[in-house]
Amino acid sequence: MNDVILRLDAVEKHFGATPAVHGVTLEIARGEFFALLGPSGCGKTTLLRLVAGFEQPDAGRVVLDGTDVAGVPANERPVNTVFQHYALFPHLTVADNVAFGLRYKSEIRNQKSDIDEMLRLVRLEGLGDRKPDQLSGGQKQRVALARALILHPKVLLLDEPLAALDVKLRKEMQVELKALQRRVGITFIFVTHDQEEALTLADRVAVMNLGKVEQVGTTEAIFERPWTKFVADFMGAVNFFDGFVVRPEKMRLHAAATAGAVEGKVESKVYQGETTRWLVRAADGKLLTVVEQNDGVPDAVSRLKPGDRVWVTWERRHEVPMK
Amino acid sequence: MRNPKVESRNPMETRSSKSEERPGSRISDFFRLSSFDFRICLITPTWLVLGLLFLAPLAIMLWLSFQRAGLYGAIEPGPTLANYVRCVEPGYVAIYGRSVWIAVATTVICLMVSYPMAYYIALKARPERKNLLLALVVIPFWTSFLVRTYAWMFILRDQGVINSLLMALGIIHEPLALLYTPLAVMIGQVYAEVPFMVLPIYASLEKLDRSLLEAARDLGAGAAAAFWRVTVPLAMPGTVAGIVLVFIPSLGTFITPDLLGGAKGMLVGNLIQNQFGPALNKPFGSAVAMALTAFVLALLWAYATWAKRRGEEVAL
Ligand SMILES: Nc1ncnc2c1ncn2[C@@H]1O[C@H](COP(=O)(O)OP(=O)(O)OP(=O)(O)O)[C@@H](O)[C@H]1O
Ligand SMILES: [Mg+2]
Repeated sequence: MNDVILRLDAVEKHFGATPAVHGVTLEIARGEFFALLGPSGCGKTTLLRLVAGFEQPDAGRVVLDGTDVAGVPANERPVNTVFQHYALFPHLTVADNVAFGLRYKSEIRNQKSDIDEMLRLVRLEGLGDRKPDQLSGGQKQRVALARALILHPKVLLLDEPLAALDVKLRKEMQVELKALQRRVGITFIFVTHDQEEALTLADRVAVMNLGKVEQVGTTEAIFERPWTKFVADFMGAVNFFDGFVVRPEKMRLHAAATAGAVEGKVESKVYQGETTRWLVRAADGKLLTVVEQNDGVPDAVSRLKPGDRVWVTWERRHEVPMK
Repeated sequence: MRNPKVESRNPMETRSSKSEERPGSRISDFFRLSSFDFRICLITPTWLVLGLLFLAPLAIMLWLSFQRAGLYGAIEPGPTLANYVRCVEPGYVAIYGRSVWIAVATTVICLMVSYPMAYYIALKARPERKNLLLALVVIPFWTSFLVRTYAWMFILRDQGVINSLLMALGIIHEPLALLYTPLAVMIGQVYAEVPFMVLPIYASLEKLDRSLLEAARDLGAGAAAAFWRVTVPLAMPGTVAGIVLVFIPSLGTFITPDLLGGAKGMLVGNLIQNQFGPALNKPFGSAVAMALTAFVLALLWAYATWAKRRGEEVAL
């Protein structure tokens, strides 16, 4: 990568005996939308706090735009954060929340036009005089974004910013966030434990587990070519065999014996709208997950019930090698 | 993603508005159905206590303040404004001035002492230490206020702890005049009132969302700026409560000036007490008390108006 805005170099952070972040090395490019993905407690928030300056690493370096920021306090780092529960100042109006950091920026000193423009950018025009408790969840989210973006940070850190929103609003905000990032061109580091969200938003993803980065890559690489069992499993590729893994939606079910098929019994089927998720107990005892597209026309497969005999096939090219 | 069907089947578990509308399914519905009688029962003791111990004496005092004082404490029928006219005689106004000054000074000193204490306990102390520290703030209440004020007499008098110590160390040769001075009154007052300032400020600092302080730092504010722009305004309700809780009793205090202030240190509290006691003039004492009450109410009203104009929430 030629234009690295943030480099983490063997960063280490322990709380007592627990390694929250363990030997993390990452390079993030200028203008990139980067996702940190991982289960609860894997160290995502700790990693963000190390970059923001709320925690100091035990070892390793955090290099921001070519400068090692060791010892630089949070308020002097050219980085801003969108907190998980927004952390809006309840005693200030929306406009005052957005203006909060401006007085510490010598270039932009409390420009009312800047504030208005930022409120327009996040679609909050006319709400500048409201207090945070008069806003909906999505609106609060946008205030938190505006408050950080108006300072033109080199990197914007977002800690599960959409987790508190309901599903529909979350989808809308995902689209909006992606468009906003393209427009402002600021590097976003986005924490989530939702793999779908990471895939939707990010250019590249780092999957974390127990404080370590398991794999870094484009969304497609992470999804199609996981390196480790953990990443495969986390991305929903749950059919593990000796030396390879197959995604459930790449497998096919057959109601009659087929050449080269794995024979089994239907253990359960769950209708999910667009798809049906089948659990099949293979003859050797292994449990296979198969996701079939629903086309609305009942056929021999869709009529299968738990307990029925079934045959599972997949194509060789869909086998992802794995130790 | 949870299944909405499963959720609605279990109304006790969720707080969604839907499940609250279902009649008969929640404990609160039980209270709502029999609500009228039930609420009266709950509120009655409060009204009894307030009525008998607060409103009735206040009404009696108000009535008394318009009567005439007779010989030997007798009360002769009014109505008259003479007591209120006497209230504004220069000699008494000087007492009010001194009282306000002592109360303001006590409040300011209490605030300066208590804020750091409350801040430390709420935000800096290790969590397992907090209860101990709060207990230390409250422990003086285990002893009678009178006894504690006497203790200050023993500490401050000429042969008291401070003077003996300083003389033994050879720092002074004559005892310092500490007892029966305004300083002694102030020390006794501050000592008595500090817990009433610490506790409400602590309560509002304890509720403060720490991530707001981090957000302030994140947006570029230094530690001092984060304190003034976030901590102080958000702890304002507790701070105002503390100020009110300290200022009002300080304005009416009479034990501390009586024991530590001596004859010259008379405050409005002593004036009122005297009228009801040795001076045998309940009507005049009542008039002063009513004037003091009116003054405090006027102050609170002025504050509430000012705060409302600034768009702040007031809970007085
Ligand atoms: N201040 C702290 N003191 C002690 N342990 C901590 C502290 N902060 C985090 N940890 C521990 O470090 C590990 C990583 O925590 P972190 O908050 O970074 O996880 P996360 O990936 O953000 O999880 P989540 O998705 O639940 O927010 C956890 O085991 C957590 O208990
Ligand atoms: Mg987290």
